[in-house]
This record gives sequence, structure tokens and C-alpha cells, in this order.
Amino acid sequence: MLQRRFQPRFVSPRSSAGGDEVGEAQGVLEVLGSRSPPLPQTPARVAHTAGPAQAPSEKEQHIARLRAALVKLESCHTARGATGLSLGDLDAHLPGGGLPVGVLNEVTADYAHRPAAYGFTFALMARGQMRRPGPIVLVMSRRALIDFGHPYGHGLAQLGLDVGDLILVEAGKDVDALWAIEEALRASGSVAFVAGAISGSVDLTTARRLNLAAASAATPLVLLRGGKEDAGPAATRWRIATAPAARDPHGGFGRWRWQARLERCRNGRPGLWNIEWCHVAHRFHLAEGVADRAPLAQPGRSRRAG
Amino acid sequence: MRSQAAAAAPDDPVDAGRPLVLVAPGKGGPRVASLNRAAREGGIASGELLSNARAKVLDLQVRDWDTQADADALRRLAAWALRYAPTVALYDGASGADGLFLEITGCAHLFGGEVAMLDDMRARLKAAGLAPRLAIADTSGAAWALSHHAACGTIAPSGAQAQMLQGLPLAALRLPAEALSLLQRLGLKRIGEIMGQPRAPFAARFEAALLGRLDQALGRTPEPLVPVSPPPRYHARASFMEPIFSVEHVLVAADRLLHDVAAQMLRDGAGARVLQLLLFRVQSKSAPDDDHGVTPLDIGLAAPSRDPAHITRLMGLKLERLGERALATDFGFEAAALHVRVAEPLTGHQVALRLDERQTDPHAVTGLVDRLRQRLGAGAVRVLVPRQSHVPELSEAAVTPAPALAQEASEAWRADFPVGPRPPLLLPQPETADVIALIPDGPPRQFRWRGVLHHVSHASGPERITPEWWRRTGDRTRDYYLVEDTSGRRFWLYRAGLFEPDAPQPAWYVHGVFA
Repeated sequence: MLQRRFQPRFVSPRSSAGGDEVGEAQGVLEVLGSRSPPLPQTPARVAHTAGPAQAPSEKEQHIARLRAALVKLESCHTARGATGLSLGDLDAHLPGGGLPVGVLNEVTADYAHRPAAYGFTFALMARGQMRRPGPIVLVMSRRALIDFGHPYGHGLAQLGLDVGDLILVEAGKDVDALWAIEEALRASGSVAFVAGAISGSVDLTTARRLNLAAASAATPLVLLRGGKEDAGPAATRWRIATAPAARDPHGGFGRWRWQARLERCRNGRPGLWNIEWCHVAHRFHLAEGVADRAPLAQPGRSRRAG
Repeated sequence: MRSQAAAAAPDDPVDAGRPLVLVAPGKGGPRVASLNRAAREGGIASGELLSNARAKVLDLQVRDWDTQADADALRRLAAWALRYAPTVALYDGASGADGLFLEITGCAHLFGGEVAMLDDMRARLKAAGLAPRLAIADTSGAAWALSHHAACGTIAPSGAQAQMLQGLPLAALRLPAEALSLLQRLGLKRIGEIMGQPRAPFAARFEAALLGRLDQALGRTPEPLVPVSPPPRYHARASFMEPIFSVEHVLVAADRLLHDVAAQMLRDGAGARVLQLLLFRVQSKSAPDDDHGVTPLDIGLAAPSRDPAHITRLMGLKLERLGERALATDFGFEAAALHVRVAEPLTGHQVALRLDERQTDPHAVTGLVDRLRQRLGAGAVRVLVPRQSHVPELSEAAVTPAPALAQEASEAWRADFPVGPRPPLLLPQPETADVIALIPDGPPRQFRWRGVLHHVSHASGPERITPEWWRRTGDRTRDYYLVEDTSGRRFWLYRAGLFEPDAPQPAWYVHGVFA
């Protein structure tokens, strides 16, 4: 499990307190690991993560301004001023404090783990319902549905989804599905969340079109796709695999667990987490290690008095 | 011998220039049901015995009368006649079933007046090889009488049926044969002779038929028409100076028609739910069409609308889905009509004044549903609603989205919650699995599904679901288990049937996959 957190830091060339040591890093973005020992030439005040609460100095304000400017510059396809879709424990690892909205997010999985990828997508949809009112649209191409069946309302409801607000769209081909996704994104922001499931992958032009359509109303967009090609201007790409579920104290099933590998993340770093979905609070939790699993069979547990 | 020869070769090509009769079985043998001009000139009359007809004309062509084909042809002609007026009715059986009524109120001016309209109609029907008899009057009864017993193209001035009908024979009143022969025996021949008579004696002798028909012809009692297609609630039509071919031109024309219709609907506070765009092709003489040159395009909407831009967009999407063949013509389209078949109240709605951005426009969603349905097909867009059943595959249904459904469905989903775990993905059909269990009625230990062996690491269940006796027989009791294999994949399996002495061995099925 990767638990290292990286914080991009700006070092202001104009700050008075920094002295000449900081001047060496003029206009350069330094990425420092928070766990790495503080560099000897960096004054303690720059390492603002750990210091006691102080009034923000002029330098810190400046850093905040620069940070905001950089995000604006880098996220040319992201909707302006939109914050991400909060996912719970994963937020700290994602730029913008959550799943980017208004851009294309891809979810992939190996064939055997595709149900888990569906589950992850459904969970994201349930999360999206919390953020904004309006229906959620799930577009599926027929081939993407062939192997593991159709969405089942009772099961979706148990994942925390408001099924009454779910519009299912079935398209014959991937092309039609992508058209429908774009159409849903352009429905003047009245749709809370758009998800798609296609059997192939997305080419560059289509991905750009989807990005533009999603950005217009900052609609969250998740595309569950097959296909092996990994080129594409997606903001994030997740590869989901299933993991043994948590056990409840009585030996039954607890929350579903998935292994989520963030393979690509614009403005952020990839990572790998074991996550579990809480359908009541609508958030992901980082799963504890496997050590806390209840034993599969407890000897003597089912003893009866005769 | 001759009749046998004629009967043996019914597929001989017919020579329209020579005498031809269609025969139907009647009293005393086959009788002439219909005949052409040459046969009439030979002295044959309708209703005559076939043997008499043969005696009169030597080289008579005889065919059986195919009433079904006749009715079908008339129906196609009625579809063709929709280009003149939205309400077209067939003559009912009592009046001979050999023609059409068109309700042309408000339509004639589109063709430059009634005379021009009749000329246009006559020219087109003649071009199609038909010999039409046309008339216009205030009532359908009078129009029928004039078309059958006056010169072709007679137009009765408004309110002048009485004068026009006076000189016509009584047969022009669409009377039954018995009533007609009785009247002739009484010496009454012209309609004018009974118009001035006291009504009571006629009413006593002829029941409703005679006076009823007379009143209908004179417009004293209404005569409802049964149109071939239900009359549209709103309609508009246009003729084009030049035939149009391309999708773009069709859409421009549709947009113009929609603006006409939208104005009518706005006046009534209505919106269209079902529309039909009829495109009338330029007909070629060489290739007669099955559908008499009408290409219909049906549009259904999720919510009433009168927005021309929206509906035109839907038509464009529909044409895109249908592809090239939808608008395949030889010579293009010369006219178009737009019929609103179903309209519903559509009052203006006020957008709630809320300053936060968290509001959604319901019309945007129904518009989206419309566009998706037109492009992907009517069944492509679905909403899930719960159904009252314990059987998993019967406990929900996918229905077409409708406004206000979302609210109901959400409440129904919240109210209706199954006890056990349910998978988010359900297989369309349960699939058989080879299962090994430690004890016969225990959870699976390992199972083979789609050729892959799964070792079960954990299972929960069973959840017993018995078949609903009122639905169908043959279903067996199911014991559902949720199992997880060693790689963490989760499945929903069930064992169908119980271990009972006389029952067949239970079988295992995979019914769904968990995330």
C-alpha cells in the first residue's frame, strides 16, 4: 500500500524571509516528500505543514496565490473553479480534493474483475447523486453488457444509489454510446452524473469532445471501458480489481472491497489503495490490512449444548 | 366450356380495352359485381346474371371479385388522399364501399380553390390509371349523390343542395334495394318528388332509411365520418415549388410546418406527444407504389412540447437512425403534411427564482430523453421501477421514462427493500454451474461456471425464495447463496429444488455477480 504523500511546494523568489538560499530555486516548482527529512538549507517556516498555527505570513499568502494560478494554468480542460467530487479517504491523494469533474475519468479492469469496476462506477454514481440534484445517466453499449448482465435495481439500491433517478441508456455500438454520453453531457447541466460503459476504447478526438462537453457544466464523467490501448487524454484512469470483502463480527460479509490502482492522474500522482465503499455515508474508506479479517472457520464456534 | 376456360386461367393479363366484368356469387348464380366501360357499352348492367352477360357480349373477360384486394386498394388510395385533407373516410359498406369522403373544410384554399383542387385531383387520379367521379357539396350525402349521378366535377354552391338534388334519381340517396324498388312501384323517381311530401307516410312505410338519408343529404341531420386514420388534433401542410430530396430540405420544411402547428397549439395551451410527418412523393407512372407515395415519419415525445427546434432536431436524429433508405425517392417529395396525433395540455411554466445553482430544468431532461430515443430507438432509454414480487428477476421492470415518474420511482425504491443481499449486475438468464458442496443442502465449496473453477472461500446464506404459485408452475424453490472465491470475486448462486424423495435432483445456477 502506498501511503506516501507528496505535497508540491512553491518557493517564492520575492520572499524576504527566505534569504539567498531560497533564491536559488527561482520560479522552480519543488516537489518535496513530506516524509523526507527537511533539507538543511530550507528554513523551518517554509515547511509549513508541520509548524504551529500562525497567522499566514505574506509569503504564505503568496504561495497560495501561486498555487491557485498554477492549477488554473495546468487544468486547461478542467472546468474553471469546480472542486472535485469528494470520495472520502481518497481525497487527499487527488488534485482538487476529489475526483476531477468536467473531465473524462476512465475506469478499466481485467476481464475477470470487470464486475468490480462496475461496482466502483456505481459507487461513484451514488457519490455524484449526493453532490448535485438531477438524474444520473448510465449509457451502456450492448457488448459491454453481454458478459455480466444488466444493472439490477435492488442491488444498485444496496450500493446506495437512488435508482429512481437513474436513466439507463442502451446503445447498440460504442459509437452510439459515446454519442449518447456527449448528448447527456450537453443537456445544459441538468444531469448530475454521466457514466458510460463501452467495450472498446476511446480515441483521442472523441475523448477531447467528451472533455469539452463535460467542462461546459462541470458534470462528473466516468467511462468504464474495455480495450487495451492506454492512450487518451483522461484526467484520471483507474484500474479496479476485486479484493476479499471485509468480514463482520458474526462471520458474514461486511463492506465490499476493491483494489483501486490510480494509473494516471493529471496534476497528481498515481497510487494503489485497498478501498471499501460505505453505502450509507457514500464515501470510500481505506481498508485496513488483511490481518483483521475474521478467521474463515472458527473451531468450536458452533458447539451446542446437548 | 368457356366459363371453365376463363376460370382455369384467372391470371391471364386483362385487356382493359375489352369488356371485362368481375363476378361475385349471387341469387341464381354468379352475378356481375363490377364492370368496365367497354362492358357497359355492350349492354351489361351491374347485378346481372353472368350467363345473361355472356349472351350479350361474346368475348367477355370474367374475373372473380376479390373484395379484400378491392378494400386494400381503396385504403391505399385513402392514404394517398391525405395529401388533400387530414380527414379521409371510406364509403361504408351500405353505400357501396367504392369511394372516399374527404373533409376539405379549410383545405381547398391551399390548392387555389375548390375548382383547382378537383382539377388537380382528377389529373393525378387519371395519371394513375383511374377514372374518378368527383363532386363537392356541403354534406357527404349530397357529395355522394352528385358524384354518382351528376357530371364529374360538379360543385354544389354552399346551401344549394336542395336545388342540386331535386333532379337526381332516388338511387342517389344511398337507399337499400328493397326501398328503391318499392318507391319505383309507387311511381316516385326523382328526389324532388319526395322532398315536398309530408313526412309521416314515408316514415311509416320506409322506417328510418329514406328520410334519414334525405336529411343527411340536405344537412338536416349530421353524418359522422369514420376516418381511415384518426383525425389529427392539429395539422399543417405545404406544397413545394420544386421537389425536395435531401434531409436538410425535409427538416426545413418540417420546421416551417411545426411553426404553423405550434401557433395553433399555443392558442390552446397544448403540446404534442405524438406527431407524424407525411412526405408525399412525386409519383412515377412506371413504378406504382405500394403505399401510394406516402412516406410517414412518426415521432413520439417523452413530454408534451411545442418547440419547433426541439422537434425538428428529433426528426433529424430519427432520420439519422433510419439512414438513407428512409428518404429514398425517385423524383423527390412534392408535398408534406404534419399531423399532431396526440396532444396534451402544456401550460407555460415559470422557472423558479432560486439564486443557488442547484436547480435542474426538468425540460432539459425530457428533451435529452427524446433525443436519445429518436437516435437509439424507442426502447433504448429505460428507468427501473420495483415490482411486487419476491422472485428476483420479476421484482423490477424497465419502463420508458416519463415526467413525474422519477419521484414515484424513488419513493417506491426506498419503500421496497429486499431482505437479503442483491447483486448490482443480474444475468439475463440464470446460468448452470457445477457445484461441489460439503453437505448436500449446504453452501457450495467449489463451483465451475463458464468453464472456470472457483474455490469458495466464504459463503453466506441461504436465502430461500419460493416460487409464487399464482404465476406459473414448474418453478422450484430456490436457495440463494452469496459466495466469494479465493480471488475475491463474488457471485450469487442458487440451488433450485429441494432434496426430496420423489423430486428430481436440485440444480445449481449462477444468477448474478456482485461488485
